[in-house]
Parts: sequence; structure tokens; C-alpha cells
Amino acid sequence: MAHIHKPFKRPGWHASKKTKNLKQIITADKAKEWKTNTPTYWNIEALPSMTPQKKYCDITGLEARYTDPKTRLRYHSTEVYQLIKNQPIGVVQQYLGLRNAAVVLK
Amino acid sequence: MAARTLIVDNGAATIKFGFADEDTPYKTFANNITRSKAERKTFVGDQLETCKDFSGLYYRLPFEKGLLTSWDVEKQVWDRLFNGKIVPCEPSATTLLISEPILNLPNIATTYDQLVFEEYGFHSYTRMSAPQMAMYNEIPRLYGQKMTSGKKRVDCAVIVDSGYSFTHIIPFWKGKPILVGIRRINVGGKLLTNHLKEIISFRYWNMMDETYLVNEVKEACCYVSNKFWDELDICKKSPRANKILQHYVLPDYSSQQRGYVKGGSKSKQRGKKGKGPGKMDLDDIEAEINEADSEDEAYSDQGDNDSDEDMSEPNEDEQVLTMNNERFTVPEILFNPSDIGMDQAGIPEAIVDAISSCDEEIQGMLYANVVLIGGNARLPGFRKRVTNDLREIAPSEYDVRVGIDKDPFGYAWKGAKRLATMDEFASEFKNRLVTRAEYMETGSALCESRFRSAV
Repeated sequence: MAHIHKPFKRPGWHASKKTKNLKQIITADKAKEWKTNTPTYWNIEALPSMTPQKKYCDITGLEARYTDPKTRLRYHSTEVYQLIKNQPIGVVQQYLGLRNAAVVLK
Repeated sequence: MAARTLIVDNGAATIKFGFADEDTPYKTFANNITRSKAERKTFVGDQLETCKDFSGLYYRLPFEKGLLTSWDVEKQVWDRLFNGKIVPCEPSATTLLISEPILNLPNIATTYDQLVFEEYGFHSYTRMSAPQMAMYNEIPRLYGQKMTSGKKRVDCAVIVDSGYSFTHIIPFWKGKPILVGIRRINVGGKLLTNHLKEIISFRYWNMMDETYLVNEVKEACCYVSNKFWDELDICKKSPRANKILQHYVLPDYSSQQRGYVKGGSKSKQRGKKGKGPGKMDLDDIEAEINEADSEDEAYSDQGDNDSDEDMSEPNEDEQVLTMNNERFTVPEILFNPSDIGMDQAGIPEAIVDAISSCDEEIQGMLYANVVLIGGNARLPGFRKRVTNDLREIAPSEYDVRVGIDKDPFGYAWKGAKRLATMDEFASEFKNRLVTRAEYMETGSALCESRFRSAV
């Protein structure tokens, strides 16, 4: 891009300082003292839902009537259960990760 | 004023731009830098149209969590956009009207000012959020009514902006956003595409690197379901009885450049037309929305897909992706973020929450003026679903009206155009502007106060 002629730009101008990345901006912004109840970019998130979470089969995406007590996978029917019975633990965790339910060890 | 006005709706995924004094509709420009592994080339914005192989595209986006943070990426995109070929503009004689995220952070806002005045040297500029732009439209038209004569715009409305990064719900009163009523749901088009990508990779083909392709699949196949559990039951049926099931033929990037839905005549055309990425066909979308609204089931909009052709044995050469319940369970996240373990309310619930935090006197008017904008609003069945769900949970004494433009994607841009061109708004527009000379004299503080107060 550098060698392309840019008539719309002032040739002598250079960005004075590097712009901050998101993390720096967030830290700087949160360090400021805001009055309580002032809406900012960070506190306008929607509230948690009042409705119960829907349950889907983790394998097929259909309605989940059952939960496997061993792996916590939700499943639709016995056929699906035959499949998940023999899944290795890593695969099970990946399936759970699809709906943010995987156990994350730190 | 001799200066021409350039309107730029700087969306996280797509820039919508165009001059206010031209009669042509807005143009679109991809707001990213992509790198193709296969071609070993980097594409800035619209250069992607020259790309032949979209497999394994790597994206660099200027926006992060809905905020403009990667300025080096954005600068390259804007350099290309303003370089005279795409927008024939002379910045020193141009007024810029640009969009920014709602409740933008001061630090980022200052960088906007710096870039616009110091790097590009625009004559004057103003920035406002995209929902604010949309407020200048004739909103009553969305409900089939005329604007009350003598009025510039509606007194209040709720704008639901479902974009690429997030979904924002912003109530307006007398043209100003009601700050306490602003809500954000952390679900946007990007999350939907990524989730679809993961599901497809688990169930069918591994497409974790194929963001571009999955986005095309999403745009071609996904819709918002209005009878969720009934349709989930349909998905269990055999392929012949399952009207939701679609076969998406994946492109191989040698003979077939673009994928298409098998059997659906309209979609087939759309796939073969070979439009550039980021460009959209307004007629297509219009037809889709009208159709989706008029018909009872949004999924049937692809025509009869249980025809014999559709169910025939797959062609040896083509790779087919089966889209079953993914077609509507993915957009469902907008309405139930808890589906993927997010602890947030969906759009209808958040609208009710937003409105109920506003003054009681205007709540009725807000419920009667809900407007859907943004890229996700193009999903078939979206308006109907929001209407139905909102009607169920809104207080019964209030009327609920949900409006959507034929082109919700460019609705903000069109509003901005009205602001810049109509005589009624002339003084308001003028009050919002900061000229370069003023900026050089007083700096960013003036921009901040003028853009906020002159609303």
C-alpha cells in the first residue's frame, strides 16, 4: 500500500502516536470514575433471560428429552445414545463446548 | 455550502457509502483486509472481488467487540475507499457524515477526529450512531402510514440494530437516545456465522477455516422460525417429507465459483449470478422479505424442494452440505442467547426491558414504533417473530407495531441522506458539523460537545 500515490492525503502528516489496543482502552476507560448509573459502553448489556433454557440434543440439534448422567450430554433418542456411549472424553467435551457447557480446567 | 456531503455508514462488516447529492443508492464496501492462502495475496476491502479461491480466507477486521480498535487496518481500508477511484472526493471540499458505535469510548472518538481532520483533511465532519441516522427516516411509512404533516420526524421510536458485532436496542425521544434504555445483546452476525461454522464442522464437513463460505451458506439458507418446536419435529422426518431440509452445493473453486441451494430456483440464480462479495441485490432481499412475511412458513421460501430433482442421487462431482435444523436453530440464538449458554435475554425480552426503563408516559408510543435495522434483519421471518414474541410479553394495554424497511441494511444510510439533503434538517445538520479550522483551533473537545449536544 505504501507506494501507491494518495492525492487525498497530506504528505507531511504522520500519526503522532500509536493507537491503543482494545485491552488498553478498556483498562483506561474502566479506571475512570463514572457516576453510578451512567450508561457506558460496558454496562448496557441486556439482563439475563427470565425464560428457561431450551434443551437440544447435542449431536443432532433436535429436542433433547434425556441427559446422559455420566457425560452431561443431552440427547434425543436411544439411537443417539448408542453413539454417545462410546465417545472418548475429549470429544464429549468438544460437544459440550458448543453450548459453553464444557468443563474448563485451569 | 459548497462542500459536498459524503455519507459513510462505517459498519463493522460492510461500509455503506455514497454522496448525499447524488440520486444513486448507496454502495457497499467490505470493511476488512483478507488474505487468501491459495492465492497468496492480500485483498483490501473490495479487492476481494478479484479473488478466485475463497477457501481458507484469513480476515483482519478493524472492529473488535463492536469498537473500532485496529486503526491500521481501518486506515488501509479507508485509504482505498477515499482514493478517488471508488469515491471521487476531494476531502478538503467534502463534508463527512460518518457512523460510530453507540456510546463510543472517548479515546476512540478522539482517534476518529484525528484521522478525519489530520490524516485526510476533510473540510468538516460529524459522527453519529447508525440508529441515530435511521431516526431521520420517515418511520410511519414502515407501518403503511404517512408522516404527520408539519413534522420533521417521529417523536419516539425504538431502533433495534442487529448488526455484525452486537444487537443494540435504543429507544429515542425527540430525536435523542434515551440513555437509560439502551440495551445490548452480545449476539451479532459474526457470532451466528461462527456458531454455524462450528455446528457444520461437528455434524457434516470440517469448515472451521471457511468463514467466507459459511457466511454465504448462512445468507442463503438461514431463516427465523415462527413455530420453533413444530419445525424441529419436521426435521426428524425422512428427507422426502422434510420440507426444511436443503442441499447446499459447495463450490470447488475451479468450475464452480459460488455455492448454491439445490432445487430452489431463485437461490440457484442468486448463486450463479456471481455477485461480488459484500454486494447485495436489493430486489432479491425485497422479494425475500415480502415473501417471508406473506407466507406462513418462512422456510418454504425456497420453493418446492421436495421435487424429484432435489432428491436425486448427488452428482459425483459436487460436494453437498445438508442443512437441516441448522437453518433456523442458528438465528434462534438472537431470540434465546441461552441456547449457547449466554446469560442474556433475547431480542423481544430485551426490548421490553429497555422500554420499561423509560418514562411510563411514552412507553405506549415506544411499543408502537419498533423498527428493525441491520444486516440480521434481512433474515426471512425476522419481523414476524419479533412481533409475535413482543406481543406475548408486552403489557396488553399497549399496541405493538414492528416495522422493517425493504432494505434494513441500508436504512441508516438513507436516514443520514435525508438529514444531509432535506431543508427541514438543514439547521440541525449545520449545528452538528465541526469544520477543520475549528478543530485545529480547539481540538477534540469541541467535536465531543457539539456531536453530543446538537442532537
